[in-house]
Amino acid sequence: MKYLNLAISPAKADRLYWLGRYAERAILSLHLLRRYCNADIDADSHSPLETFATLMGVPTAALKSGNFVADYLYSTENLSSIASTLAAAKNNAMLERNDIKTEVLAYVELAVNTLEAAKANNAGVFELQPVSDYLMSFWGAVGEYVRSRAVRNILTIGRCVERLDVMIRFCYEPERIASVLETLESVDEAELALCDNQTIDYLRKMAAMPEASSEALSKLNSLFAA
Amino acid sequence: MTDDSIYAKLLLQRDAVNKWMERCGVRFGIYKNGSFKEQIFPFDAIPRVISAADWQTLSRGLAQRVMALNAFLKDVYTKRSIIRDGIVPADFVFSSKGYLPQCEGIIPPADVFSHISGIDLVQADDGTWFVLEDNLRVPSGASYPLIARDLTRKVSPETFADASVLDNRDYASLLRRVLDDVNVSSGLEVVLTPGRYNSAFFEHSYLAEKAGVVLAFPDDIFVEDDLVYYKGLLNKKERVGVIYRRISDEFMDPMTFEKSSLLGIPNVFSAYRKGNVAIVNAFGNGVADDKGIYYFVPKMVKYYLGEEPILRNAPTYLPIFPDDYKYVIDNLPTLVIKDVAEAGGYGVMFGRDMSAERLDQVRAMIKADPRRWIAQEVINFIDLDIMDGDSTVKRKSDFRAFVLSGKNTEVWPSGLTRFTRDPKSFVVNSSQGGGFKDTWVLAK
Ligand SMILES: Nc1ncnc2c1ncn2[C@@H]1O[C@H](COP(=O)(O)OP(=O)(O)O)[C@@H](O)[C@H]1O
Ligand SMILES: [Mg+2]
Repeated sequence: MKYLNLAISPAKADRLYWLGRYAERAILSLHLLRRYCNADIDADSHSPLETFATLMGVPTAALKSGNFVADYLYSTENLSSIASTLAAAKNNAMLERNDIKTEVLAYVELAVNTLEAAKANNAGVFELQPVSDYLMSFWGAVGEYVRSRAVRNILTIGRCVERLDVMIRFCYEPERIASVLETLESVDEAELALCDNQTIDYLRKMAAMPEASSEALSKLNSLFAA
Repeated sequence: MTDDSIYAKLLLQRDAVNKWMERCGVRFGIYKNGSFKEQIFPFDAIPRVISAADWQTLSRGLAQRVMALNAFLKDVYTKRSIIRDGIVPADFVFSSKGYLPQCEGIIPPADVFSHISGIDLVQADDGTWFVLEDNLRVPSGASYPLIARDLTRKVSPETFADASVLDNRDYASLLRRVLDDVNVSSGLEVVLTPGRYNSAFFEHSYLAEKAGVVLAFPDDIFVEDDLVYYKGLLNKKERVGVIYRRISDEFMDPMTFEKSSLLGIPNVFSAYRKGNVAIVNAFGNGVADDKGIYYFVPKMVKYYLGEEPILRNAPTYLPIFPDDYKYVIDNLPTLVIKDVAEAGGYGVMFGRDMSAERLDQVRAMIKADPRRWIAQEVINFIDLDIMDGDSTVKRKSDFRAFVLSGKNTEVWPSGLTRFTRDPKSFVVNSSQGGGFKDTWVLAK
C-alpha cells in the first residue's frame, strides 16, 4: 500500500486533477443549464440563457440562431460543450483505469454513451438527468472503490477547484463557497502535501476576490503539471 | 433454436454481456487509412470448449514447449551449444531480425526470457492440434477472455453453476506471481504502456488494475546510475524492480536501439544488463519467435529436455534447404507463405488465393531471399459456431494459449479464441477485423 501512494507521477496527478474538474464541470453545467432554461420559459427574450453563457464564459454565437442549447449540449466542435467536457473527462479517466478502477471508469463511460444516445434523439436538456445521475454515481464510486487516498485526494482537489470556479462565477452565497473550502482543507492532510498552505491561500484569495480568480486558477492548474 | 448446449443459458443473455463490455470500455484500437479508431472488440458469446482430456495434453505440451524455448534463448545468448551441436544452423540464428547481439552474455533474473508466452494453435478437422507460432515478445490478448468471463459469470451465473468450467479469473494473480518472482530488490512493479493509441491499451490498463501494479507511461520512468526509477510527485523517486513492458525491443531504449524512439527509456538496457531491473519479456526474444526458428522448436524439445514433443508444428518448409526449396516452388498454389519478420496476419499469404502472375512474383521473392520466407501446408482447421443475429454461422477460429513463466511454468486454463468474420478467410487476427470468444476448459 505504501508504494501505491507514492507512485503518482506528475503527469498522472495532472490527469486525475483534470478528471475531477471535467466530471464536476459537466455536473454543474447541466444543473445550471437546466435552471436557466427553466427561467427561460417565462422570459420573453433569450436573456436568461445569455446570462448563463456570459457567466459560464462560453461562446454566445449560437444564441442568435436559437441553437444555443443543442450546441452547448452536443457540439463536438464547441470545446466548452457538455459533449467536449465529457470527452475530456473520459480521456483522462481511461488513462487512469488502474487507479480509479473499472467500476468507477464505467460511470464516465455510461455518461458519455447516454449523452451520445440523447444526441441521436435530439433530446433536450430536461431529458439528460440520467447523465447527471451517472456523474453523481461516479463521485460516489470514487469514494467506494478508489483505494489510494492520494488518488482520491487529487480527484477531490480537482472537483473542489471546479466547484469554486463555477460558484464564484455564478455568485453563490459565501457560506456555500466556504463549505467547499472546508472540504479542500480536509484534503490537505495528504502526506503528499499537494494541497499545501500555498494552494489553500490561492483558493481563499479566489473566493474573496473573484477578479483574482483567473490568476489563482492558472496557478492551480499548473500545480501538477510541473 | 432449441439448444441443449452447456452455454445455452448464456446465449439468452448475450445482449447483456455486450452492454457490460461497453460499460467497461472493452475496446480495441485499429489504424484505418492512417487514422486511429477505437471500437468495441466484437465478442461472440458462444465459447470455445476444450475437453478436460484435450487440455491435459495441450497444457503439458504447451509448458514443455515454453520450457524448451526459454532454454533455447538462454543457450543462444550464452553457450550456443545447440548451434555447435548442429541442431540449428548458425547463420539461421544470427540472420534473424530478432537476434540482438547486445544481449549476448546476459542472463535475466530467474533465468527466464519468455515470461508471458502466447502460443497460437489451430485444431484440424480430425481433432489434432497444431502450433502455428510462438509469440514470445509482447503477446497480447489475455485480458479479453479474462474480462469476458467476469462479465458472463455476472449475467448468467446459472450457466457456470451447471457447467464445470475451470475458473480463468486468476490470470492477474499468475501474472503478479511472475512479476514478484523476477522482481529485483523488491522494487516497484510497473506495466509500461506506449500510451492510449496502442491497439491494446485497454489490456495494458486492465492488467495493471487487476494485478495491482502501476501503469506507467514512458515519461514516468527514468534511469540514473544504472538504476531505474519511477518519477513521483514533488521530486520523489521510487526504485523500479520489474517492467512488464508493452513496447517492442527496438523502441525500448534510444541509447541502444532505435535512436529516434520517443517511447523509450534512455539507458534502460544498461540497467537491465547490470541486473538492476527485470524486463518482462526479456530483450532479444524475437530470435525464438522468428517464424523460421519455429521450425526447430520440436528439435529444441528433444535437445534441451530429452523428451518427445507433445505438440506438433504445422508441416513447415524452409526454402534455405534445397529439398524444401524445390517443394515450395513446385507446390506454391497449395501452401501458405509467411514472412518470418511479420506479425498480426500481415505477412501471411495463401497460394490458392493468388493469380498465376502473383505466384511467379512470390517464387521470385523466395528465390531472392530464401531466409525471409517459410511455407506451410494449409491446415484445414475447424470452424466454430458464431452467433449471427438469432442463428449461427461457421467461421474459422484459432486459439492463443498463455503460458506464464517465473520460478515455475504454468499454463493458464483458458485463452483467446479469435475468429474471422469473413466466411472465406482463414486469417483471424484482430488487426484484420476479427472478433473473439472466451475459451472454456472443462474440469471433467
Ligand atoms: N498453415 C496454416 N494453415 C491455415 N491457416 C493458417 C496457417 N498459418 C496461418 N494461418 C492463419 O493465419 C493466421 C496468422 O498466422 P500466424 O502464423 O499466426 O502469423 P501472425 O504472426 O501474422 O499472426 C493464423 O492465426 C491462422 O488463422
Ligand atoms: Mg499469430
